[in-house]
Amino acid sequence: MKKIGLWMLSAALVFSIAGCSEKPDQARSAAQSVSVPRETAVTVYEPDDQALHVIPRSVTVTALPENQMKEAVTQMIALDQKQKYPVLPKGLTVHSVTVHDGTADVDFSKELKNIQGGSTSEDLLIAMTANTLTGFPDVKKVRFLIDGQPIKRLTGHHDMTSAFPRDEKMIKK
Amino acid sequence: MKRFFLFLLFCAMAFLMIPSHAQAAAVTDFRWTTRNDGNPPFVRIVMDLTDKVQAEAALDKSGKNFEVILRNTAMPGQPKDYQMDPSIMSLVTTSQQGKDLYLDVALTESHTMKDIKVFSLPANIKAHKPQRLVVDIPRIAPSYNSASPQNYEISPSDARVLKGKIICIDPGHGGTDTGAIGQLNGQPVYEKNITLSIALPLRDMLTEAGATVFMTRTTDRDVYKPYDGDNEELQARSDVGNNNHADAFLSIHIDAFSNPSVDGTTGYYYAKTDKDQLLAQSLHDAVLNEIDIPDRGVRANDLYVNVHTNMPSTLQELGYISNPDRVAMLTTPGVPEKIAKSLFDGFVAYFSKVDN
Repeated sequence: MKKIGLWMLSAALVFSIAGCSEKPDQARSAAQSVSVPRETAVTVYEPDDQALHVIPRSVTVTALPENQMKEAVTQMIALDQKQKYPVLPKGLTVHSVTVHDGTADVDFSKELKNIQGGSTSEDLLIAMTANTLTGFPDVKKVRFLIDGQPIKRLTGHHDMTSAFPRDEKMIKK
Repeated sequence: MKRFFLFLLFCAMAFLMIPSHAQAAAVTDFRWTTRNDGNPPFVRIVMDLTDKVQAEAALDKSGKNFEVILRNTAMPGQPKDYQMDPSIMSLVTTSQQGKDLYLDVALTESHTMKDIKVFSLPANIKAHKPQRLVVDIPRIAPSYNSASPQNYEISPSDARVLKGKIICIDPGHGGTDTGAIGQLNGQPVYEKNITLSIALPLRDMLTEAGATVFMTRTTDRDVYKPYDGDNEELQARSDVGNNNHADAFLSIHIDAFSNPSVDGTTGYYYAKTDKDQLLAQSLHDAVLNEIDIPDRGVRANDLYVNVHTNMPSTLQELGYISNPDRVAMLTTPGVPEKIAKSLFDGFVAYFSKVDN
């Protein structure tokens, strides 16, 4: 699907360059008419107020199929930022989520480094993200990146270079 | 130990205190040097004297103002001040007050009387050495009182349980890694200093009970190297336990969260042996027994030092530095020792169960 979309996009671009008068906006809409955004219900996780567990929340993401995971993480961040006491740092965004052999690489912006020290925040970050992404078929584990690089230093409790599986025991029953 | 040193100091004074004749003594040379060969490093001040003198040493309540009075002693060119090692003292002055010479030292960190050594060296005519008075002042790492061992009273039954046990204690974070940061009276409070303030008395209690204790650090430093990655740092800490074949490993931490009302203690373990959970539970129960703190449970987790140590190990989060009441309590003198005692009792409970 993605390949076809890209092919269409480049075809449209060639056309737009060749056509000269065609505006880039029109080129983009031409690509989107092939890869259609879909409305999908996904489960994302937010922290509980005592910072002991994560709570599942159903949200609707509207995105191209290949962008649904990234959009789910974006909504997870937004939900956390609405909390009175968020876990994730201000200004945090997600660059991409890519899946290889059942492991999703979630690439966060550099703001992740500002996460509060202590194992509580690190635990909740891992549980929220891993449980959100393992809700998608084919994702068994989640690996964390910052600006495309493996995490060297975060809060100093977990091995942040490892791939984290779903953590059922962190989910509030 | 403290009492013993005070006694020694008194003896040293008594020796000095009897001048062979009533004539006033004089300081003929005043010099100092930083001795980096000591552990910890220290500043040595040496005064050459024409005769034995009566000397009195005192330290104020803050532990930061130290004074030596040399009775009936003169020194030319008074008053005078000296810049010595700024990591140990901010200012040293000498002044003449009547017939007495005063040496005042403004220390950068709180010291106790047993940290500072004052002693006399007799004249040695063969070596052309005059009578000397020596003052040794060690460097004290910030935010805890003393890195040198204290004595604790240990019950014989506890000592029986702990004798011969090898225990590794890891004071969480350190050096370039401050750990979580709290606030007290507008000043930052670092997790790395609180974890050490609990770990040092715990080491002394366990040692006193006959256990062999290996520390991942005893001062404010990175265990691997400054500005290293989490994994290298945490592996270096795990290695201390693994290389010394410890029977048990404890990592001491203080937690933090954005909600300042959140507080409590958590015992973490990774079930790689059949005793990790028991160790976490034993220490957690003892802390709850002796410290007024909410219970956040004993929880399985895959924290690095618990995964990568070979022996039963636990990481204990002992309260939230982000909670205003807890940070005030954790920085109250005597409280880190109280928490250390509860962890000590947890080790006694654990080894009692394991050995039976």
